[in-house]
Amino acid sequence: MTPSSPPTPGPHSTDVHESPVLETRGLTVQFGTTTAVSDVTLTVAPGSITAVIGPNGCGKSTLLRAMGRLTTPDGGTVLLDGHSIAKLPTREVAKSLGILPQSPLAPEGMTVGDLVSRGRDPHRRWYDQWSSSDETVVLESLRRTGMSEFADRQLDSLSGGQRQRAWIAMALAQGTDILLLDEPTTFLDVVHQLDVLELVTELHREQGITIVMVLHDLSMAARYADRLIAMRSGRVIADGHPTDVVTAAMMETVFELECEVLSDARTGRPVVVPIGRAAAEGAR
Amino acid sequence: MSSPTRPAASGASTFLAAPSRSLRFGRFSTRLRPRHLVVVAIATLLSLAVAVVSAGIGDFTIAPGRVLEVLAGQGTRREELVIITIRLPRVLVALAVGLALGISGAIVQTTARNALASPDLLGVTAGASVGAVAVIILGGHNDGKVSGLLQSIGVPTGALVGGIAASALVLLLLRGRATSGLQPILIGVGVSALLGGLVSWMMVSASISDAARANVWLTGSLNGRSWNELWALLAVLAISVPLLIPLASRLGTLDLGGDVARGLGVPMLFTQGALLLVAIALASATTAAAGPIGFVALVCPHLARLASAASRPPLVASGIIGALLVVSSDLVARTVLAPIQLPVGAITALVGAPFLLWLLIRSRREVRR
Repeated sequence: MTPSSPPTPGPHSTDVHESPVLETRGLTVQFGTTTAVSDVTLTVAPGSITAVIGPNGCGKSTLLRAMGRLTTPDGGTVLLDGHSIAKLPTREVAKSLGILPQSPLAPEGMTVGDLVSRGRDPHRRWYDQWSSSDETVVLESLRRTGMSEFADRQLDSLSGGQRQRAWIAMALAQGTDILLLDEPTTFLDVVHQLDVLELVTELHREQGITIVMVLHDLSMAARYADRLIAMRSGRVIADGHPTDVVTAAMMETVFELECEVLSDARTGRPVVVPIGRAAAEGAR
Repeated sequence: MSSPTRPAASGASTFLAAPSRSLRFGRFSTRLRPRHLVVVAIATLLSLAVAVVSAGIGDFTIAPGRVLEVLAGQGTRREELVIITIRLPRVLVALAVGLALGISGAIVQTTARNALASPDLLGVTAGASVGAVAVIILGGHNDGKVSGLLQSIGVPTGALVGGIAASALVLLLLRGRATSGLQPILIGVGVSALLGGLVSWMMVSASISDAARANVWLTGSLNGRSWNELWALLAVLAISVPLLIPLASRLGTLDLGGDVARGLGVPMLFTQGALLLVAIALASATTAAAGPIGFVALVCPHLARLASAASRPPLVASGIIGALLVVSSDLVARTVLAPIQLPVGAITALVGAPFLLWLLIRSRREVRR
């Protein structure tokens, strides 16, 4: 069963400047006999910022990977501007959709500048390896992510937060309208989590990049995303604005979490205060 | 419009100016890394110098200066016989074998994202050994039942067929699986062990003289190599290297891992498959020409990477350093116990094995860190 998702728009806009629409139709992914993602249909509106939440193993990461064609679905399709992503040349997809997998690992000794330059890959041919426009984009990506001064530094020598910024700079250099991020804040302390999510929302605001990210921190997700998709056992349980999705009842259904939901006075967004595991009868 | 170098970077970021420059001819552009160019230039000069010295050394020693004169066509008939007919093809085969092994090793290490991977793990060496030893032993003497056919095939062809068949088996077992991580290496080790058993079985059942001949081949030797081996190697290089030019630009992206590379629009199956096929062709050709010369494909990419201070082994530098290592090892193998000629593989193993141990110890320390 699929929950109500935003209505699928009709034939999409012919305006060339419009960002492409990313959709899934009945998407199903299986690993052996377990179903990681089960019949998910949703539409990502251009220019939106969406967070996918859910307990470990709920299939949120697999959903994101399938949307970014890193995992081949066993059923259903992913559509990019109405075309099946599996049938589009992967290089063409890479020009409008970027995906950053969870904690990627750069080869030993690679510099930040080299890594960010790799983001230009989909835009260059083997005989035309470097142009001044590539260079402009790379320098701009470094500047926007605050990594200019680290361009010559090796990734191994940076802190976790800086390293994540470097990877985001690479994704930014790819120049895509859609960016999928798989747990961009894993292994970061709270300051660096804020730092990375501020950067992501800034890019979203200033450049209108459509963002879909998997996050494990509920309050962070509620604070930074316009739309939350809550998953459990491969299915979408709730989908909507954070204030509608993050309720005590929904948290109990999705996470088996007993919690109190407060409202952040400054942002107006819900904040989750955990109490304990909901399933236990005698918890109170 | 051609601007040979990029304009100076503004502000704090000078990274594109310092470690790399770009070069443009019309629609064609490439990024240059000065340090890589310096490494290539030095290694090329050293290889050629060693090749000239090596061509002059032997029973009939000729000074390097005189070697150059003979090559320019100013030698006596006797000098021409010694240099051009006997020693030159061997030296050139050494250079070509090293070049092919170095490039092959760099491709496999980057494609597999494993610093300890080499074409050996694709089954090339083990398969070629089975093919060559089968020809030497089963086809070696007049008593053999299969001798006629096998003898006509010849050792190089046997090695080539065996190498390609075994690597096809490994690729088949790998099909659809991740090419990074431990699994491909274990498959390679498994196939190699199986084929190694076959070789041992043939060696045990062979006559002493056949087993001795097979053993020399198994160590990797350049003794008595002629122009024929050189032409065969050059033909394979002439086909492989142009194929690598469009593929090479993707190696740096593959090195970021499968997920990131796919996200950046690299068609993984095609790219990895094509790169591994080229690596197999290069390694098989060298094995057919000179037997399995160990450690060159493993060690040279590391030397090239360390020398160029790069994050992955550069192809050209790996190849040239391979040429330098093989031509130098052959010079040592030929002269250190003269008049006995050692197989070149014995020398590369003596140099390569300690280096491999050092790499293992170093990587273990990094894991612990």
